[in-house]
This record gives sequence, C-alpha cells and structure tokens, in this order.
Amino acid sequence: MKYAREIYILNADEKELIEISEKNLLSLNLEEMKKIKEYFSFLGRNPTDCELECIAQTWSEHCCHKTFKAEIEYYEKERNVTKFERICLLKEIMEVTEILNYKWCISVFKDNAGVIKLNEKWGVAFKVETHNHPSALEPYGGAGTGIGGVIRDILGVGLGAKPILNTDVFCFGELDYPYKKLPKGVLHPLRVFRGVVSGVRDYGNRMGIPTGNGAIIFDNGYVFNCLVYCGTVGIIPIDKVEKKVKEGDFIVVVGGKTGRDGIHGATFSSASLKEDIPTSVVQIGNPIVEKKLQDVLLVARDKGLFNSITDCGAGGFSSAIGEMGKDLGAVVYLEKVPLKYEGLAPWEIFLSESQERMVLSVSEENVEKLIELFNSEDVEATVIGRFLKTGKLTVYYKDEIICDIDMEFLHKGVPERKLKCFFEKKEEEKVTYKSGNLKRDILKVLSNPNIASKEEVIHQYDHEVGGRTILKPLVGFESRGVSDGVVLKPFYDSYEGIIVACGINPFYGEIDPYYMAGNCIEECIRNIVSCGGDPEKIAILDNFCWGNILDEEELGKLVRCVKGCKDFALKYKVPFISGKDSLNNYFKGKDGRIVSIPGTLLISGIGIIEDIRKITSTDFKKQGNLIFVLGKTYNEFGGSIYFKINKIKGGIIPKPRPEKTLPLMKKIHYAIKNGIIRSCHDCSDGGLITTICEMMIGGNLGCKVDFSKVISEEKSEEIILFSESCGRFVVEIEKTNLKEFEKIFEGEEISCIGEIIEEGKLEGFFGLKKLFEISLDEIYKSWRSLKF
Amino acid sequence: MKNNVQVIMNEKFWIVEIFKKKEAFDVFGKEIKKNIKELGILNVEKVRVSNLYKIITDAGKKNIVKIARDLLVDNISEDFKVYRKFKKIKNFWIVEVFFKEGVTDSVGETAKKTIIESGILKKLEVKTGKKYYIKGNLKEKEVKEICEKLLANTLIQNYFIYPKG
Amino acid sequence: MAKVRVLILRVGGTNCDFETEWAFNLAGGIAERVHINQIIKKEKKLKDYQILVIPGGFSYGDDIGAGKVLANEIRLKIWEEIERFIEEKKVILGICNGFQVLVKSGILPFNTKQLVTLEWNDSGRFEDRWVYLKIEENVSPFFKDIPEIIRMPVAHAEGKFLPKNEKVLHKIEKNKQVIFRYCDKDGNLKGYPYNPNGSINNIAGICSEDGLIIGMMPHPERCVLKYYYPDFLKFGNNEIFTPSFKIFQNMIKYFT
Repeated sequence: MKYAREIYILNADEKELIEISEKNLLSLNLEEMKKIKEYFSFLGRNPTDCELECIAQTWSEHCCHKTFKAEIEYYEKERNVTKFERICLLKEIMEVTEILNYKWCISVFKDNAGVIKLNEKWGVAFKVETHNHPSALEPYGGAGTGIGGVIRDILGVGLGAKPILNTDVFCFGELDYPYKKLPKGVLHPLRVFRGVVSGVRDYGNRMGIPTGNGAIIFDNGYVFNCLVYCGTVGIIPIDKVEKKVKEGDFIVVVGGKTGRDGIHGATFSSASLKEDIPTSVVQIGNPIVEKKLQDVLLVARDKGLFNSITDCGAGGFSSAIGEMGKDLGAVVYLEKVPLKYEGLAPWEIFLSESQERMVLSVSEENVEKLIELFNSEDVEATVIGRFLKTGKLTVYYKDEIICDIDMEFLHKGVPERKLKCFFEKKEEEKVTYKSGNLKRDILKVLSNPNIASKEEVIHQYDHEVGGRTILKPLVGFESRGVSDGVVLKPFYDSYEGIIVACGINPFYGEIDPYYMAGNCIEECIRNIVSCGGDPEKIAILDNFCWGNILDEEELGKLVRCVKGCKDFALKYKVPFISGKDSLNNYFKGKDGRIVSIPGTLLISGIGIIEDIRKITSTDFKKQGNLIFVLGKTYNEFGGSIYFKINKIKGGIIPKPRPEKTLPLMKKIHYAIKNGIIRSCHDCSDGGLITTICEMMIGGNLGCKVDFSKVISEEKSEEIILFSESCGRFVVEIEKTNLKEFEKIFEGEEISCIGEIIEEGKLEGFFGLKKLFEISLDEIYKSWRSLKF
Repeated sequence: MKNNVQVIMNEKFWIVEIFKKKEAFDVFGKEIKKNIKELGILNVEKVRVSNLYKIITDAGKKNIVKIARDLLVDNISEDFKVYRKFKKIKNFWIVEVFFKEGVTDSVGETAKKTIIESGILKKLEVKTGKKYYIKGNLKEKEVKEICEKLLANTLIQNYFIYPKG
Repeated sequence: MAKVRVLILRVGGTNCDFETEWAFNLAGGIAERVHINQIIKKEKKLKDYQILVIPGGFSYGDDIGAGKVLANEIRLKIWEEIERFIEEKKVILGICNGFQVLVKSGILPFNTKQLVTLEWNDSGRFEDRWVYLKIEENVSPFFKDIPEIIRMPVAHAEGKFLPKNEKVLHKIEKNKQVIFRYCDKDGNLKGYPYNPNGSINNIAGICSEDGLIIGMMPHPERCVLKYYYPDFLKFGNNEIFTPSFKIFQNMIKYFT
C-alpha cells in the first residue's frame, strides 16, 4: 500500500492489542480491540491506519457516549438498606421528554441540537457543548474553538439555523492558587481564566452573535481540569427542521481548509489529562471563515440547494460523513480535499478536526449552483465524494482504497458496556453556625468570587450585536445590576420573545448529586420565571461534566445525579431537548495520582414568551415600593457560600419542593405579565441577603428590611440571611398594587419584609432590634472586589 | 523545536516590526508589565510590545517597505522597521514569539491575502508573531519564567530569548 | 416620490448588517445588504443608491488592524465609484467598524490620506457598554430635532479617537465636524468609563466638511426602539422610537 499503513492486529495477542491502542492514541479498551480484530478476521485482512482511526473516533466516548448508553448495575445504600437497579442513563433522561410529550418539542435528542416551537413558522434550537481538555491546554484557542464548534452545531441542525445567542459557563480553580503547587504543564487558573474569556470574546464577538448568559464558578477542584461550557441558540423555519441524505447526493465540504490541527480530538477528549500532550490535539480557530460560511450557508438553505448537512467536529470527516451516510453508504476521494499545506497522511486528512468546516449533501442538479454561490462570497466548496447505496464507508486516496468498512459495524459494532457502580447516601445533619458578626459575613459573602460581580468579563462580550437583546446580562443603574437571564426579541417585526438562563452549583453535589440536579433544574426555571418567563413553556438541556467514571464511586455519583435530573424534571414538568456528557475530566500525575473534578451538572433553559414588553428585571425601581419574599426559608446550609466562607462542613442540602414552587412560579409569571411585579430576583447561592443586595446595586437604591418577617423554619438571623433554600424570590411591588398582589398570591407563603428607600443603605432589623446598617457603597465595593 | 528554527533560518525572509509611536498607546505593554508583577517578578520597569510579520519571499527590501507602509501600518499611531536581523538593545531583554508550524495563523493569512491583492508581491508566506522588550534587572531564569507563564504557550508557540546587549 | 435606496456594504466579518437594514427600512428607506464582490463584479452599482452604509462588525477579522484591510480594499478596488458617490453629495454612514474603515481609508475627515485613527481602547480590551453622548453643534444635517444628550451602546476594541496632530484636531473642531462626545448623564465630559476608550476630547463621532459623511463608534441601530434601553422597565416613557432612530429618519428625509 502506498497511502495507508497496514496495522497488524490479526495475529496480535491481548497485550499487543492494548499496545496498539495506546501507541496510536486510540483510547479503545481491550474488549473493543478484540471486536475490531474479530471483524477484520472475518474480512480476512488487517485494518489500515485510516480504518482503525475511523473506528476509534466513531466509538469514542465523545462521539457515541458509551457510558450514557451502557447498562449500569447501580447499588444505592441508604442507612443500612441497599437498593439495586439496572439503569441506562440516556434512557432516563429521554424518558422525561417522552412522558411529558409536549407538542412544542419539535426535534429532540436526534439532531445536532434540540428544537422547540417558537410560533407557527419558526422553531428555536439550543445546544450546549463542552470544550474542557483543549481549554485546559490552550485556553484561548480551546475556548474559541469550543464556541466555534457549538455555533456549527446550530448551523447544522435541521437544514441550518441562524445563531442568535451564545451562552458561556466556566469553572476554574481559584485565582490565587499557589504557583508552587502546580505540576509541570498545568496552566495557572488565572491564565486559564484570562485565556478562556479572551477566546470566547474574540470568537463570539467576531461571529456577530451576542453572548448574553453565563456563570463562572471558582473551586480548586477545577485547577487541573477547567470546564468550558459553550451554548448557542438559533432560529430555524419549521419546514427546515427535517433533513435527509438522498441516494446519489454529492458530498460537498464547505468552509475552511484541512490541516493537521486537532487530530485525535475525539479520542483525546475521552482520555484523562496527563503531563505530556501532543501538539496536534490543539486547534486554533478562525472566526471569520466561520462567519462567511454562516452568511452564505443560510442563503443556500433558503434556496433549497442541499438536502442534508452536518458539522465537522470531533472525528472530522470520518465522523461527519460516517454519520450522514449511516443508512446508505459513502464513497470519499480524499485527494480532492483542499489542504492548508502539503504533507498530510491520508488518514490525517480523514480524521483532522480543522475548524470551520461543514459537510453538505447536495443533489447533482444543484452542485454547480451551490459551489458558485459559496465562491461568490469567498467561501470554498468542494465535492469530495458521493452518498451511494453501498452500506459501506469507502475512502480512496488517488487510486488506492484506504478504508472500506461496513456502516453497520462502524455504527453498531461497538461492544455494549456493562458497568457497575454504587452510591452511599450520607446522612445529612442540621448544622448551625453563628460568627457573631453579620455585617462582616454579608460583605464576605458578596466578595466571594462565586458571588461577586462578573461585570468585567461581561463587558468584554458583545451582548447586543444583532439588535435582539432586550433584557441584557447587566441591568439597572449604570448597568451595574446582574440579570437572572437574557431576553431576546428574535424577530425585528414582532414582540415575541425568548428567555435563556441556566442553573449550576457543584458545591451541592459534594453532599448529594441527586439534590444538586434538583437544585440546578429549579434554579434554571426560577431564573427564567423571574425575568417574566412562563414555567409551562420552558425546555432544558443537560450537560454533565464528570471525573474518572472507571471509578465505581464516581460513576455512582453520576447515576445518582441523572436520577435526580429525571425525577425533578418530571416534577417541574420541563422536558430535556438535548444534552451532552463530558466524562473523564481528571488529571493523572506522574506518580499515578488521579484527581477528578467535582461532578458538575449544568442545566440550561430556554423559555418562550408572547411579549418582550411584559418582563421584569432584578433592579429595584422606585423608593417607597414594598419588598416581598415569596417562598419559605429552611435551615439548609449544605454546600452554601456562608459555610464556605466560614469553613464549616456538612449541613442540609437545599431541597427542591416542586409541589409548592411550581404553583408559586405560575403566579409570579401571571403577576409580571400584568405589571404587578416591578422587579424580581430569585434567591440562590449567597442566600436572601445576596439577592437583596444585588437588587439594591441594580437600582442604586437602599432599603429597610425586617428580617423577622421572613417566613422561616427557624427564626434565626443566619438562616434567614444566608440559607440557600430554593423556591424563593424577592419581588418589588407598588403600594397601589398591594391588594391585587395579595389576591394573586393568596394562600402562598409570602411576606412583606420592608420598603425601598432613596438613601443608599441597607438597614437590617429583626423585629425592633437593629441588626446592621451597611452603605450601598460598601456593598457595591465588596461585590465588585473580584479583579481580573 | 531545533528543527523548526533551522527551517526558518534557511528561508529568505524579511521581518516587518510594527510598534506604537508613543509608549502611551502601547496598552498591551502596560498590561503585560502588570501581569509580570503578578507572577511575583517585581524587578520589571517597562515592557513594550511590537507586532511582527515575517514575510517569506525573495523580494527586495524596497517592496517590503512599501507593503509595510501602504498595507500594514497605521501611520497615525504606529511606525515600523524592516530587517532581517536585529541588534540587541542595551538594558532590554528581547523575546520573540511565533506560532509553531501548522498552527492556524489567521492574521498571517489575512496579511498574505491583502498583499497579493495589492499586486505588490505574487508569491509569499506570512507568519505573525510578537516581540517583547522587557526592561528590568532580570535573570535569564526569570525571563524564561515570564515566557512560559505569560507570553507563550509552548504547545503551539516557540519563543526565543535574546539577552540584553 | 421615489424611495431612498440604501446600500449596506458587507464583507467577510460584517455583523451589524441585518439590524442596520431593519433600521433604515423602518425609517422609510429601501435597504439592501450587498456583498462587496457584487460591486467589484459590477452586479450592483453604487450609483443606484443614495446612502452607503459600512456597518459594524469585524471586517476580515480586524486582522492587521480594525477596518484596515477593508479600507485597503476600498482604495484598491472600488475607489472610483466611491469618489463619484462623494462628489454627487450622497450620504455615507460608517458605524463602529465602518467608522474605522472611513478613517483608515482617509475618507474622513477631509478625504485625503489618513489623518486620524481609532486606536486600541485604553483598557486594551473589547468593551460593550452604554454611553451618554452630547450632541455638538455640527455641520451635519442629520442630527436636528434630537435631544442634546442621548444614549447608545458602544461595542469595540479599537475606538480611541486619535488625530495625527493638534492641527488636524483643531481643524476638525473648528469646522464643526465633531458630531458628539462621550459624557456623563448631565453632559459633562468625563473619563473612563464614561469615555469608554480614552478618545481625545471625548470624540465619539465626526462628519466630513460638508456633513454628509458620518462616522461614529456608538451603535444607533441597536436601539431604535425604547425596549433596547437597559432601563426601559424603570421609566414609563411612551415614545417608542428613540433619538437614535431619528438619525436614520433624518438621513432618509434628506433625500425626500
């Protein structure tokens, strides 16, 4: 063979099979290697390098989600009782959507992104991806290509959606982590943080897509493996949601050229980070190539010039063409692929993860028109093969066949994983703590990096390009306040709207991932509702980032978390429309020590509203207005910021109470829609006091509050101020609307706790006892203390 | 890494160095000085940053000067030098950072495109890089630390340190 | 009455073209997004339009320098048509990246070689924030019937207005070519963050000597309705259309 290398597996023993996998960075385990050997023994030949690479990519955790599809034996121990069940994680998640069976969920779990109905003509697509490993190694390039990749997911959903919003959630190590403790090759959290923010900024801004929602978490569990979640929302005509490759269609690659960049991305992303890393896994993006591609692609879509599309992400052509040709078969001529430079081995061309490329399936009669259209805007478009009914993935380089495998084997041959794991539920215990200095505690909570303002980061993102952003991430006086979510007006000629928000809190997961899931789901819904969203028109996405799942305990936590997702999504009646898992986020040092990240779940939500004029924001609006707390406070300090700053362990994790909170949220939606609620902010990390302070900052107004009025399980100042119980909102209403307000919320656990004042200060009372007085300046200064 | 250097040495090229006319415009120099201090290296007095365009071509200096003046430099705030080799400077450590072979260099590609479209040259390659002038009482070990922790990511970039003249 | 035709020029990296198109259409014009290749290939002719807009974005990635490559391209490939457009006293509007293109090609302020630039923000970063603008007494016909202090968002990395020397600055000021300056809510010229980029004399936008070519860093097309103001929920203002929208209307009205 001239263009491919034969890999000798037919006579390889088990040890040699593993060596082959490791030497070629295939990340395939013994069972999988044996299955491959069996297949090629049947064919009576050895595989080529290209074939083996192609199978490895297709079977990678990143591409086929082996763990989420696996049958898992799960043992859950509580007190002395052990329960056993067999569980498939993906099924659990998908079942929620099936049971809820909403008609407005148009396309779920099958395409690049989930699609829900926006109105009769339009759907809205949402996808969130992670790009963790690349961002840990090259934060700027990694984060940029992360956002570039998820944008292409949206461009590749159905026949192509137009991206209108990006979201970003990051988890980093604490910024003051000592340099001395870092192993060689691990970048300092500050550098990762700056690089990631700049990467997202430069790619997102250049794409002309506003970045409107996100979160940043700091915890030393992320020092070795940062997490970078990038999401994109797009709009798509409903009649463009379905796509199908037709027999005889040409395979056309559009966009960027192919280079050696990003080879082994898919297999690499499923491996742990070690101290030596090959350069080729790192990719650097070029947003303008993608922007040009986007512009012309949507024109081609509207002209009906192609039948199907997918993005070239992990696994490159191998995965894109393999996926599109799954039901038919495909023949590819690799020498036709436009290259960045000479010298690539054919398998490298097939596997390369060079950015900004997409693959189209084009009918013969449209090929010329399509290429002409793309070229007219300086975008490359090249025919590289055809979809033919062969049932095989056949790849030529010049006159030589370098890959010829059955689609059936490629897509269905991966041995089903059987996994076992356990979870032991820890006994939760009420812990109370008094530091005796409330004012100091309040300012310390506000200045905690997880609570403090991320204004400096947010200003670096263009959150208004496109002319669609109504409620911006920064609100109120001098845009100092923080928003619970972003509200978009997707169409210039209509007041219809979309609300996007998220929920994340890895600290709860340390106690019980089940309730972490419930909290994340509720927080996401709460955020949408407090902007004015309708709790009955929200869809959510799950993104799991987990550590070493070969460890039965780690996997057990993941299963427990997925179970929480299912139970609480059903209770809050929100369907999952798309999801993604990124597993094996752990670091393996030279000494073999394994450090896993805290199991982290991000829930992203999207809500549909009829009128963007009927929303509200978190900033206090007017002096003299009344402040109400909706929902009851419990002694729930587990995983709280208050315990974190005081270095207290344990406590009860906040428990979602959907039976109370869901009806409450419906009423909030009604009250906002009818202009009764003037401002609304949910209580989450940092507790009630954080919520009130943030509303003051946004409004540049003060308030007088009697905390004894707050409905609470225990009348303790610390619990009322700092407990992170869910199901709570702080709202502002005009005195003239009091009656109407009370009527709407009759029977709910609500109480008026104070009044907004003009003077910039927070006066806290407990009955007649004055607890503290803090000036707005002091509050703002503490909250703004995080400097980058 | 050594092989890479060799390849570059054998090529015919010019360096266009573009720098801000006034120190006050050099916002990145200021930022990097601040970042160096954050590393705990306090002996740094001043940092200046230049953009480098390595233009690989057989063309003479005159054409390169024309390219720099007409296409690359902002004549209001920036100035430029064209050279093949530069002299060390008294009191300043100099660090050059370039992408490794095969790493996407969008600015280099855009520069190449705009030069070809201008008609000044027909065939060329452009690689972009940064040049840092660091003034201060620093040891080579500290400069190396600055490179590794701040200026370059050795996964995708090479850096070269030139000691004070 | 013939409708006013507006050409919104786009290239690789343009990204404020759709909302700009919408703003001009809403103001009564007929706006059309046109790729520069269509003009180079003569499929579209500048002479068929009354207003040329170079919208915001990152033309060619802003590689080399913001707006630089497009400025070169305009000079090299479509200069004759542009010159005629200017001679015929038609209107050119450059917003953000478009402003950068207009100064780097020398069209603003005096249609000579480049005399001013838009340098990196003092912060060294891209910044999106809302600013107050104080409208100056100026020669342009498009800023009439607009309150003295207005608000718009800026979103750029390279927006620091910097003239070549005092003489150029003095001439721009004396000719009343300054349209508006960054200020605080009471109209006082202040430093960061009110002046978001460190612009000399807080200059946020200028025009040509005849007032028909406009360049500005702020984005009027992002706030044509009151709902785009970051605090529209606080103030119960009944007027839906904003002062920014008035600028588009004034441009259309100029030809009718």
